[in-house]
Amino acid sequence: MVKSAFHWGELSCVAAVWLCPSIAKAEPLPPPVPPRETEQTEPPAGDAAESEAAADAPGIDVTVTGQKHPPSVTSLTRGEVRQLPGAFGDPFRAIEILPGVTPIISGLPFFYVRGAPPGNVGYFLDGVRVPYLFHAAAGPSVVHPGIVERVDLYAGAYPAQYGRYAGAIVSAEASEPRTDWHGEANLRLVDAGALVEGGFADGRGSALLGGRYSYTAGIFSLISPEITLDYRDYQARVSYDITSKDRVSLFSFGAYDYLSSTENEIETVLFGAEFYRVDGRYDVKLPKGGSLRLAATWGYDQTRVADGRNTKDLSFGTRFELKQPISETLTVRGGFDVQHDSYSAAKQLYVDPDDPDADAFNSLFPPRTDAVIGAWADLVWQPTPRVTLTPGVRVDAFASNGAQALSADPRFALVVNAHERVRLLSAIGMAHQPPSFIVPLPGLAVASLRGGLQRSVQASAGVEVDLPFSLTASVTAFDSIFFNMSDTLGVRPPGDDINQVPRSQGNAKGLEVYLRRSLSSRLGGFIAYTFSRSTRSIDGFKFPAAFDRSHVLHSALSFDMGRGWRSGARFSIYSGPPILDSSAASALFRPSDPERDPVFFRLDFRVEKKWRFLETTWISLVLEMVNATLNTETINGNEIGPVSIPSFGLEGGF
Amino acid sequence: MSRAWGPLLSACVTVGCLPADSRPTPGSVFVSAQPSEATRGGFTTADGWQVRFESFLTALGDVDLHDPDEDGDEPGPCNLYSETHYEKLFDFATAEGGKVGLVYGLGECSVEYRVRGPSESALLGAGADSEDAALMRARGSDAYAEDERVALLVRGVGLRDGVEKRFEWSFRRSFEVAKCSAESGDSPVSVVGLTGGAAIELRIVVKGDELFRVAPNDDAPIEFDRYAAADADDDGNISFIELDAVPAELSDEWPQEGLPADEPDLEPFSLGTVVYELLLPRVTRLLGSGVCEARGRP
Repeated sequence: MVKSAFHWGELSCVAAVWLCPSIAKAEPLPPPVPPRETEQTEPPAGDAAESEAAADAPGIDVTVTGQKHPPSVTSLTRGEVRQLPGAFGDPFRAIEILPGVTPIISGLPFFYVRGAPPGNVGYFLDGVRVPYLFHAAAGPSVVHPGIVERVDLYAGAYPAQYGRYAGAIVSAEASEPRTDWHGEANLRLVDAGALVEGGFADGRGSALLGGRYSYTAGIFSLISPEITLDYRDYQARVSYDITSKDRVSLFSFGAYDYLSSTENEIETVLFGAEFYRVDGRYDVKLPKGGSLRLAATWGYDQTRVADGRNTKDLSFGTRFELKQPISETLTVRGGFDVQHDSYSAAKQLYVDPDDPDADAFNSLFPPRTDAVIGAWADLVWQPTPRVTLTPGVRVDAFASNGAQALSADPRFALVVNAHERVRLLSAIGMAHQPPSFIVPLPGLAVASLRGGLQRSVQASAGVEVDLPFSLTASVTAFDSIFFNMSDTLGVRPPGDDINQVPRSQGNAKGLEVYLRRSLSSRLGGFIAYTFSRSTRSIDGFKFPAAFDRSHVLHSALSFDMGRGWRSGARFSIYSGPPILDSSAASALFRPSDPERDPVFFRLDFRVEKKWRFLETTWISLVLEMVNATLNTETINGNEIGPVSIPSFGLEGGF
Repeated sequence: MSRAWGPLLSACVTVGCLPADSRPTPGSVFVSAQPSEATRGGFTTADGWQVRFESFLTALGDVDLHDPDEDGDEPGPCNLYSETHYEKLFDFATAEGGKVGLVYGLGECSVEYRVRGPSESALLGAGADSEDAALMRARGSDAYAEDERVALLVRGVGLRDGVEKRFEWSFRRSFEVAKCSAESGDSPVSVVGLTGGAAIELRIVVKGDELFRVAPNDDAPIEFDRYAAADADDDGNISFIELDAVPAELSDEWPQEGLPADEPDLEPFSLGTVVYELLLPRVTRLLGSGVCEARGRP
């Protein structure tokens, strides 16, 4: 039977849409991009092998910058991301191995960051808000890796530039426009992708076009004819240098996901999501290395679920960003932005009008107009060569459906170079956020600021040391306090009724240990370990958050075997989350020390053979698998999986 | 960019690409509930007692559509468009009931509903008030259900020859009710054929007198003597503990199948066990149907 009826209280099932196992996948090889002029990570000295590998595919850094400001040796180069087993070459997917990141379910691209739930993690691409990062059914990221120059994970106390999220920020920066013609393509069992970029107008202009198209509908028609699964995305960019200091750009990207079931000749949409962005910019290079950006962004978001329900968001925003060094020791940064969101929601046509569930949906997501305006500023000040202070502040004013709120978020970061190989890094900051939905989905935003803003105070302190043999080690302690959280996922309300959007207080504290050697070295690897405790308080009870995992350990090794062969393996192990009774009986009771699900571990591997032609042309065959041991995971007493993702793909570039 | 891609991209960026709901217009099933005459106005038992309910509180809801044969491997003929996710608390002793739910679908579908304790979001139906709801939401355990809300609360009195026996029983076991057979033995009343735009109405009948049958059989007489005799302390109130202390008498009306579970601690059956395990599931059925299949479900 086609069960199109969809209990909104079961939206956690939507998350499962991202977890359809047994779909082969591989990520395309990111294209070579030139090093950034600023903020570029310096590779560890004396690592010739890494430098060689970086020459293959330089440019991508995945950095933890929440407490390590400015980002430095904690980066993963693009070559490293490619070599990370289980990441499929996708810099977004590599985020999950970083310290402080706690997975909800292995393989699911939603995670807690230092105790902050997925709904409190904001995603940005070049400063443009992105509603979700990954295609459904364990698909690739919604942005072609070839256009991503760097991904930063701000695990907390992030710079004043970022706001409206009380947990963490995942910010990807697009590559600089290039005028030399280059491109790449990939062919996989479930999709194909390509990206090409080149110059025009004698090098003053650059155009890029990329995208990915899945043909899973055809694959599924052989396996499960009643299921239709489809996803695709695109990226297009045109830029033109008016002068050597002025550039105008038009950047557009979008993604589409669709899952339906057809029985008795009736096609029922089970889940659909799409978003599109068009961002026009004017960039100016200012004296002393300063920069200015004026931008306007148009967006369209839509989510459709069964029952014929859907929500849309038509958005328009502008932003102004300024960075201006005043002297060799002082840089001023600041900006403001305005965001306007016009939400509409199609009411369910075929529904019992008395059903509180329908009322709850309509109440949570009514048609309305939301607006937010914000301004921020900070100083990067080096009073001495060894000390960098970054005080900042951000102010936002929110309006939604007649409700209004104002927030002011102070931020402060301190970096002390205690020794040429030792850095002390600390940060503290406050952040506010409107009430969030259980997982970020296009066009789904809780209306009317009901329950008020969420608020967090996050602090961290750590030490980072450069060790011999190009090893880098860091130890960071963090403490995050969350007020008035709408972490439905973390408190597991009675009956798992997410319509309640219950408010809770939260706390997460822990220790992160990170030891790494570039994966693109001849022999590279890392160990990332997080020991943490994340709690929620609600109705007078303090209990561990539903996805509190005390121990999270990732480790990987990658080895260059020569003659174009490279192999690697990754081992991840998580302690089990608590078993929280979500039956209605639990309304009045939450144990402070509940039983926990068993430990989960998984083993990923990656093997690549690369052939080179001419000077810059290459072809690779990549075999990769997530959870090669087919281990199952237990969440709240329910066995899930095994979520194992095999991949076999052909990649090439010029 | 080709001429074909340009308009497509423009269309997606401006109005979206996700297809609209293309399903054909469904049919609907309106489910309501009403008390039997015996529940609403009282009844006379075969052994001469006048039994009257003062309260007959229960919550009905969570109406759903399923394939008639859910065990089949192939997709069934039922296309569910919407189900309900609420229940409504009624006092069928004092009011005439009302709407339970409205569901939509297409094809041949089996209608199911639940008898359960009211959840926090339960609606108040005819005769019930917030105090009733609060009383029934209080969780507890008995010999037959653990940590459950009260699914049925009955209060009443039996009178005969100047003797008055009062009873107040709470039943915490919830049921999912389905496959209500036709009285005539034809296809189940709970299976409906839904065509586009058609509106079908089904009525749940709440039959409180079923709690007093001498056996779980429509032909078995309804008597009160055994209950009155169970009042061991002779205080005029028949508690469920007292019912549980009385061995059940299996008469000729008892069916050969469907006896309580083969658990040692349930044998010999008590009168309480008979009421809880065998008679309680018979309290609701669809109008015009015989007994329904009632599966225990927390």
